Amino acid sequence: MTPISSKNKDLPQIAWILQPNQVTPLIIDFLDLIRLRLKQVVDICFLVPDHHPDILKNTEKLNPLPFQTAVASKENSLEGFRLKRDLLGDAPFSDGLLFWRTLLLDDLGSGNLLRTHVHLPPDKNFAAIFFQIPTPLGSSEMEERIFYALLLHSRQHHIPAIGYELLPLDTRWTLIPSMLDGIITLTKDSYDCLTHPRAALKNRIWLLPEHESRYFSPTASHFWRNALGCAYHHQNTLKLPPERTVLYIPHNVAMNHEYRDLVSHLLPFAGRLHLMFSVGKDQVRGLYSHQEIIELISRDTLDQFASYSFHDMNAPYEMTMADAVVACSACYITGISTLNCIPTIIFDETIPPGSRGFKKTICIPSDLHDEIRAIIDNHEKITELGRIILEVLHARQKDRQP
Amino acid sequence: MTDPFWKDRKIIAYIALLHHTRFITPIMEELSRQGARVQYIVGQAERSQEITAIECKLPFRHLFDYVSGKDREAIRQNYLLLRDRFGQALTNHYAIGTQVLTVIDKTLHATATEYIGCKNLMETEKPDLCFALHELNRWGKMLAFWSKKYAVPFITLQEGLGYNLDFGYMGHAQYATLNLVWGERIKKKFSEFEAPEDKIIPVGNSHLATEIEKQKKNNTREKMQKKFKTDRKQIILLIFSARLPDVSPFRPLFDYFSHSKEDCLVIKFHPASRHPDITRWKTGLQSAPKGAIIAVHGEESTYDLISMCDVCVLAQPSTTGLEALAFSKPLVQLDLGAPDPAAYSFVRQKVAVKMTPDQLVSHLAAGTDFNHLISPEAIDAYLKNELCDTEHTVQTIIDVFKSALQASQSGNRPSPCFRYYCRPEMVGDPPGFG
Repeated sequence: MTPISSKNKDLPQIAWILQPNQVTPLIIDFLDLIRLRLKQVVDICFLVPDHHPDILKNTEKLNPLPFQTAVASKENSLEGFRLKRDLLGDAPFSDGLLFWRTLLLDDLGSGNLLRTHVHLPPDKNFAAIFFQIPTPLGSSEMEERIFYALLLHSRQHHIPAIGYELLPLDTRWTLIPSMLDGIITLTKDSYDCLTHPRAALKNRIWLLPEHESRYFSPTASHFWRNALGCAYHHQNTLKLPPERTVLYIPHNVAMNHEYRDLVSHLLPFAGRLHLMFSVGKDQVRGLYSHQEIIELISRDTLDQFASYSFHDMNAPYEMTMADAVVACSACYITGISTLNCIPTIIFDETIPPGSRGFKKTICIPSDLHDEIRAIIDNHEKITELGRIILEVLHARQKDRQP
Repeated sequence: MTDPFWKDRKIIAYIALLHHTRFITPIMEELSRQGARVQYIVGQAERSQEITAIECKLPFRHLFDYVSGKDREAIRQNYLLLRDRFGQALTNHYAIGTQVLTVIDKTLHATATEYIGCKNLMETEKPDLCFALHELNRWGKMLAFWSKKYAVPFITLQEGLGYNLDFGYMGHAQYATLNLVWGERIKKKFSEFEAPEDKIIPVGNSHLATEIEKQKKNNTREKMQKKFKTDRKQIILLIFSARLPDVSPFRPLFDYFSHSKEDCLVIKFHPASRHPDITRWKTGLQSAPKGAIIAVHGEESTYDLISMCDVCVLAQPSTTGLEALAFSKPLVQLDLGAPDPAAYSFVRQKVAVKMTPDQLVSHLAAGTDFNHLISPEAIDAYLKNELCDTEHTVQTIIDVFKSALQASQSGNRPSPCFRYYCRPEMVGDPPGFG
């Protein structure tokens, strides 16, 4: 296969760094899809350190370019000691004790110096570098050294450095996030933690939708694997704008009345919602298909929604496009959704309320409203990877304009 | 004899590494015997300082034990100060990034927590006196800083020979009220790097003072030989520092001991050496016959091993060289071909002979008496300069503690000998203390 970069010489290029802990088949498949999806607007160039024996083979599908690394060190150097002291300057703790006095001679290695160099392809002019953010309780030393070398490279060449979450970022440690231009989070917990005023981070922070973040985990299920690209397909065919919240409704003709009520309860949010109804061939009743039954019974309300669509209930992985599943009873579909970590709301006035894992059972309409509001709020936080890349490129372009 | 002065006095003693705690415990044990209440303190480190206290059977508290929910905001503020400064420094230049970033980050958060923990410790424990081996690491420095803020005398010792390059001792006695060192040589060295001369008092080595006597009384040499089941005529002790050298230059030595019927080699690894490196070394020794080469790590006291041996051989500069000389053992410094970067040299001071492994083997094969290779006068003069006392050090230190404590509590300056000194830019206005 011809490297994609050679075909798209005029497109802006971004460097996407892959290290040994980021090369599970699922991540590779996802990144391949992203590259394909954005090929008209950006050339994503995957780079791998050449010292790892398997990484080129494991990432073959992405036509990666290997880069060399080198390490230089110096011990007990007065120059190194002075350099560190000057870099920290007179910065003190809250009561006056100087940082360098406290940390330089022991924790910071006194006069020892160590530098990792990365030699990126000289013919590339990257508009941004994307790499995984190392975390204190999970990363390996060599990966971290390469990360830091790339971060320094990006600073020296004024290239935006964008880190993405692979290991959880909702921890007490925020030094590395504070050094990046942008942070892509995978979970709401990480997003909320890093955007909270307590974290005091000034950089751009994004949250990926579930239909993308799932692929950055080696534990993603077959269900999610089957769903790869499904959300993009439906977004395109349904022409869904990114700001629209999507609810998956596992309709059943045995509960026509309850589902009509449910749709009515959603009306206060109708302008912001797309409803995905699941329909089945065995739910044909009389002359009416399952879809027609829904359209007829809810004819007064459906058109008030921003959009809606119907999906074969035998293709449940299509629910991965949704922000949540909303049902009138626990059923086969809600079993699948909860097991696959998709927020699931069951609005059933006949059983006790409860919450366990990704499943929440509620009995009163006001609680349903609260839940839907929260889902919409959450949707407002998410940004797809493609849009993030474009945002970074636009910001870069703007910065470079005279 | 007990001095009622010490009854119920509260002493805080910070401890970290097991092999350094030996300098602190003889003093604390004597103070406890005299009625003082000693609280040992440890900090947050991946090389667990708690384990030091547990192994030494010392009651301890962790600096994190002194922080609670109400301190969260103060910790956060200090962490953010650190984080933003380090973040800026790290993105401007590689020099700060000797450690990987995640280790730096863990250090920064732990430091912010300990900084508040130290402050709270002063308020909770209200110590009469604080004590640490030195104030060059963050724990010693923060404890020294807060001691000064709270007008509590803070006293440090000498952590080793001080053979590193001079700038590594910058701030050695910055906040400490007094720094009690082994001898005149180190006083001169520290004074040349920021430490005010009148803060540094030579008192001798707190551990050696008791150890030499104990070893003699206990017949340690015979007991150790029995323990190792060695009946070899001559035992050579090879001592390594934390960073292990390459194994290949040592091959002639191993070959010699593998075939010798009379000599035995005991290899002592440093407690701070990395486990995989030691394993690699030990694997290379497996072919030697039983009893010819014995490798030990932290499981044996270095002093017991020095007592047992006939010749002490150093692969790198080490404080144990001085200790071997104090135990009257001849000292050999191995020449491994690399230039010696240390400012301090036993060989240059004529108290050790320099030999390549091949030369050492030749001497051993020829039955050389190593005691004859070095002049006893040179060793006497050396020891006098390094250790001003090897008998009464613990009592001298306790007397100094008492003077410092009395001076601080009277609100007057300490006696001229212990005159309090600190440059004004080092700290704001400490409460009390003249």
